[in-house]
Amino acid sequence: MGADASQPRETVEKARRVGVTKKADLMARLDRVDPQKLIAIRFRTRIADDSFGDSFADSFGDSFADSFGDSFGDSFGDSSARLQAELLLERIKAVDPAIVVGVEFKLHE
Amino acid sequence: MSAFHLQQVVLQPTSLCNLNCSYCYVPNRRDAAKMTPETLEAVVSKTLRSSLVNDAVEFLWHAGEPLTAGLPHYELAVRLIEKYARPGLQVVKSIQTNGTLVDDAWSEFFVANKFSIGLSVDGPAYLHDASRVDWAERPSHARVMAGYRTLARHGIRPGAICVLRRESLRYPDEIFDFFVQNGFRSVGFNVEEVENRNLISTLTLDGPGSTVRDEYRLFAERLYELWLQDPTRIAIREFVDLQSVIGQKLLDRAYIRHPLETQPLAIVTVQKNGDMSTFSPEFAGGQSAEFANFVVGNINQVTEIEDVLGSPIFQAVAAEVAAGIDACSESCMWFDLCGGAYTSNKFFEHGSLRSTETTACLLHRQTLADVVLNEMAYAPA
Repeated sequence: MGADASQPRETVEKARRVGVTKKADLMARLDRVDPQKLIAIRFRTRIADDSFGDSFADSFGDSFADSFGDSFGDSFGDSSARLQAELLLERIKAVDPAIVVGVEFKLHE
Repeated sequence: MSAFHLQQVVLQPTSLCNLNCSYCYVPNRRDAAKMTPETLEAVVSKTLRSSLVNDAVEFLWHAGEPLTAGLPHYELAVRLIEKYARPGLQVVKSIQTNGTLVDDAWSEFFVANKFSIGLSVDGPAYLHDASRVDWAERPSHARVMAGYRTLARHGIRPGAICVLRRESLRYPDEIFDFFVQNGFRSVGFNVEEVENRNLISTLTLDGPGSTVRDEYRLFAERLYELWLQDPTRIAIREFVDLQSVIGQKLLDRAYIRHPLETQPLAIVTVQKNGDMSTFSPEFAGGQSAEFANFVVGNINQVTEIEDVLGSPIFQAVAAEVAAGIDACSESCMWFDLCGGAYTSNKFFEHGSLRSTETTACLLHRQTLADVVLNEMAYAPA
């Protein structure tokens, strides 16, 4: 059980100190996340969504959408792929801002 | 624009259900009383003119079995939505059904009126039928899947809600294969909860030496492994949501998840008699002397839904929920990825909205996030 307003003040303060430590634990876990894994999975998940898939295909063409979905995660480290990704980001944002989150993180780190 | 944002109205047009699932939390499931047309009109009209609604709102019909309310209820709902929806407002219509009453007429209606369908099915028959039986204790899986096939014939690809009981944790492959091979669009997993009228969960940690958490972890790890092989085959709600949350947290370390059920009036649940509750839909029909059974108003009696903001019960519940979220924030490593969800579980498990850890959050938030973050970590050098 966590801090309760009915608990003595020192107990609440202790819980708050514990909370700070635990937040640091979460940040440490996030630091170990490989963004490429997130990007690849996130993209493939969203491409499976009918509305997103249709919008993406409309914007970029079916064959490109398919190949992009399959290869994006693996090729992202390549400089040409990075440039391509940067150019695409603004256009993808209009379709699904959520997918851009992981990509931007990788670009800006 | 209001600080409150109404996004989902859960309608319980009847508590009647033709099934008697072992873990159901809904009271009065043999009561055939239905929501009146006048109450339905009050729900639709007051929702669609509410200043709490921005550019989209969802009407979600839910428990008992919503199809027992009959097709005329839904035909009227559609007419009322067309009558009261302001131009440009996106109105989503959804039903969570056990599927046993679905026939061609229902399917044609769903297609014609663009309803999103969720089916309640707990995986293969030997898992589903262990708890989802009718009042004569007859299994329901065959009838559910007949309903599914009828929907499919009409081009409807439903999502699914699957309740995990302890026995389910032994069968990740079989459960995954069931939903993929049958062509479900998505699946969301709920853990069996101590909630409202359901007083026992097979997933409750049974003492200090309990292996429930380890069993759940093995299940989640295997399910995630299967899903990652090709996540385009089916959207698993918990994984999709977690990836979105983790992605946002990577980009903005100040990000905190805010589930709808933690936001006052983001969800309003309306029972058949017009009684309204907010936060978790599971509060509807809940018993609490302190919070007047969580009824924050009646849709037939308020002039506007906004009137609820002045309700002492609403204010008391909202204050207690906020205190509980603060307590989660101060004590839990996983808070930023969770946001202090499962508000109703807190109350029904611990008797206090100010409490923190529940069975559902221990398994379905903490353990699940741990599993996903482990898999997303850089490979060891």
